[in-house]
Amino acid sequence: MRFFDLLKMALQSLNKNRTRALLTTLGIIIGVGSVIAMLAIGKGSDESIRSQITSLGTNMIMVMPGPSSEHGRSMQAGTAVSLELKDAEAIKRYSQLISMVSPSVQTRAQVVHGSRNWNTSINGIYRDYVDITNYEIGYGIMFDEKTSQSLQKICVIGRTVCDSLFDTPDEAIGKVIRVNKIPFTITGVLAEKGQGSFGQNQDDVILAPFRTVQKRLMGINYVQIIYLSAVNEFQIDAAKEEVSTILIEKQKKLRGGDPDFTIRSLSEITSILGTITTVLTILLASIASISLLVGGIGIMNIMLVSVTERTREIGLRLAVGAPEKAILVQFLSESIVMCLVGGVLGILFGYGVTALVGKLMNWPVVIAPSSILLAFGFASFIGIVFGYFPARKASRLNPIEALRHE
Amino acid sequence: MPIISTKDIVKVFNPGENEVRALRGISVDIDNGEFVSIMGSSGSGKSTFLNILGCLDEPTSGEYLLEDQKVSGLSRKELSLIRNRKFGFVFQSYNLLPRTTALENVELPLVYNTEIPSTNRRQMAEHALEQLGLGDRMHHKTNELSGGQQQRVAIARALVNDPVVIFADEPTGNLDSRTGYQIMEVFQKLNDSGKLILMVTHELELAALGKRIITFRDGLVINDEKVIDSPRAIDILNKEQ
Ligand SMILES: Nc1ncnc2c1ncn2[C@@H]1O[C@H](COP(=O)(O)OP(=O)(O)OP(=O)(O)O)[C@@H](O)[C@H]1O
Ligand SMILES: [Mg+2]
Repeated sequence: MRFFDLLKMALQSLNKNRTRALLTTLGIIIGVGSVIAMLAIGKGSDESIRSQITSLGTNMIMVMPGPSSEHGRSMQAGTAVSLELKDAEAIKRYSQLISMVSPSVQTRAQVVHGSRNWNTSINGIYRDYVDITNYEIGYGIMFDEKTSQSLQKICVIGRTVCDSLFDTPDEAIGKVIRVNKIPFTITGVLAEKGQGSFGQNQDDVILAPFRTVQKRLMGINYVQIIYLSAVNEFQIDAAKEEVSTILIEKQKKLRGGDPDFTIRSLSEITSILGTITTVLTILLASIASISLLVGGIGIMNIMLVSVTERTREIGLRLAVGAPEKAILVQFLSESIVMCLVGGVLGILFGYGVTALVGKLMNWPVVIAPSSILLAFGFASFIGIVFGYFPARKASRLNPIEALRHE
Repeated sequence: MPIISTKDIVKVFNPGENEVRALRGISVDIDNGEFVSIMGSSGSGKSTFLNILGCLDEPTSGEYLLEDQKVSGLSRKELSLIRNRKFGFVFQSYNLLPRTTALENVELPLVYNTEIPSTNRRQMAEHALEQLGLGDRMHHKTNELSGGQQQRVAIARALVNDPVVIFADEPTGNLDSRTGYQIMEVFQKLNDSGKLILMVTHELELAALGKRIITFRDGLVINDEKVIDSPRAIDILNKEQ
């Protein structure tokens, strides 16, 4: 038996039952297609989350008040009061691995300009904050480092705030808005940044000098979060160590008692979210695999029917001297051909579904080459596994009983 | 040395309850160049015996020597090799592959013969079909052929691997008498060229065209005689016209 003979035989007999072969193959097409589509959706959301987090600033490190706990820590700031401006200054002074430092406080405020008003969040920050979090100035200017440490009543506003209070961004520059009745002069408008990784609108924000917000708006003495940036992404862990040492020293010296803060880097958050999307991807792919499995059972079913129907043919082949192996391989190659054809069409189908989902639902989708290999390999595997049992059944037939089969 | 030699062949179907003793001890020797007709009433075990000789079935007990080689110990693989190279089968119901051309049917045994290069298959199959006067029907599907033509395709298939023995179980059973004689003419010619032929038939006139008649009854051989001066099928056909 030569390879070409086998292929020809398989194609001929599939061709004799074209509709049946096609419908059976459809099971594999749908299975392979949905595995590919599900993997693409999973991978797409993973990549989009990663890129959104990266847009926040890869080297970002946050220091929050409160005891560090490995799990289940709320990301909400402002619940504890143990951080102060001096901590931020100490980091700035003593740290070698931190390039940028900004304390921050945040509150919600009613903003009024003329007859228009808007409820938004106002952040008190240092100039470095803008670079740490990858904001860019779109119109006007950002106040400088020195001003950001002053008590001046100036601010830059996010695009969403700008659009709700003014007709055009240009118009906003130099205007005075009232934030909780306190007048602030607008120096600039931030460039649009879009949605954050937690779904929040990063453009619905006002940035103002730290102490202005802390003292004038909120009337507090503590810092909610200290934002830091490591010198580079490879030094993030070392930088965290260093910051931790500095803060422990400082807090012990100043206050006595236990240090009380938590340090989180963005890469940690990325890896947590990465785990979630991986679980999601696996879940989606497993569900899709079930349809591939069902497709495989369909192949087995139809091959068993085919063996029964063609018992006389098998008997004849055995009578003219077909060895057991040739019969086995003949039937096996039929199921493999169906699965391979189903695999190829399934990949195309998967591409189609993926593109459609990406377009209609506006979901991020990415087809990884490895998922194609996986789906294809899985399809061939199913062809062999589910084709083997019927093929073996055919090859083990007794020639004379097979010939006498009605 | 006989080509086929059996000793006390016994075949029991469904041992235990419902037991059928189809063969109860058959011992025959068949030499090269013989044309053996097997006769006997229905259910006497003719087909069962032929299938055992053709290595399609195994005896319950007894010894079967094929060219002095014991068949009973052979593996399925070795048996399939024997069927492919040494035997040709012709069945009452033709057993051609449906929806397949005459040529492809005749090529079938060659597909399983690794000694023959695939490029030679077609030519060999064409030759066998021409030998049986089917040169103009080679590309017809089997369902487009008459019964006699189909049986001749089956004979071509049995011939194509140049076997030592041709087994035919009631090859003319589904054919009218004239077509039957035409098939017998083919067998006689094949026998002239040296092929050993074993044929089961119910008709004495056809059996008498062979060189030896073995008669079965209830799984035993009750008569085994040579035919002296067997007539030629071609003469009978010519006379009838
Ligand atoms: N697979 C089988 N299972 C059970 N009994 C069988 C089987 N094959 C044959 N027999 C029995 O064995 C006996 C011999 O059968 P066999 O087919 O050899 O008869 P035969 O001489 O060829 O008859 P006929 O002329 O009708 O073809 C019969 O009684 C039959 O019922
Ligand atoms: Mg019979």
